[in-house]
Amino acid sequence: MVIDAALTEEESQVVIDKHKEVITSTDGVIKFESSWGRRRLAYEVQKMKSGIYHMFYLEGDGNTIEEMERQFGYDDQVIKFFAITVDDLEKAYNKFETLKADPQKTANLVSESLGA
Amino acid sequence: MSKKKKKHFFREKLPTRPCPITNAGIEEIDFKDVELLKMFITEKGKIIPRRISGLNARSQKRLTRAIKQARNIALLSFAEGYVAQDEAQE
Repeated sequence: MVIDAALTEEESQVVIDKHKEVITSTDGVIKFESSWGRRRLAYEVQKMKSGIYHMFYLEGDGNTIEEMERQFGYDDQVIKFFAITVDDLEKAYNKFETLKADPQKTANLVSESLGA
Repeated sequence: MSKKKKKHFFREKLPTRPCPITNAGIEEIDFKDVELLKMFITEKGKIIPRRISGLNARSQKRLTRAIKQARNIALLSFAEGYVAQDEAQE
C-alpha cells in the first residue's frame, strides 16, 4: 500500500497500525512486513508527488482481503493499494529485502547475460 | 512464353539467443524490481515486444504482468517511462 507522504513518520505508523488491526481482527496473520520509505511516484495521484510504500506479507482468506481492501478504500491517507498472491511468503520477503539492499542487482545480472 | 516460376526464398535462420532473464537465473519477476522492469520499457513507457527484447514466452508474460502491476502502484508511469528516484527527497 502507499500512504500520503505529507504525513510524518509517527502519523504514518498510526495508519499502518490501524490497518494491521483490520487484518488481524478478520483472522488474518501478518507474517512479515516491510517498509520501502518515501518514494517519488511515477505519476501524480490525487495531486501528490511522493508516497510512503509499505508491504504486508499476510495469510488470510477472502474475507480478510475483502475487508482490508474496503478499509483501504475508505481511508483518505492510503492513496494506492493492491494485493497479490505469492507462493512462498518468506521467499518473497527475503527477496524484497535483498532488492532493497541492492536495487541494481537483478538488472546487472540481465545486462551481463545480454553482454555475454 | 514461359510460365512465371514461383521463387522460393529461404530466410536465413538467425542464431538463437538465450532469453536474457532465464539466462541470468531469475525465476520470478517482481513488480517492485523497478530497475529490472526499466530495462524492458521504452522511453515512452511502452513494453518492448518479445521479438526485440528476445525474451521467451514465460518471461515476457511475467514481465508484462509485473510492469502492469508496477504502473498501477505508481512505480512506473503509463506514459513517461521511469522517474528517477534521486529527486524524491523533498
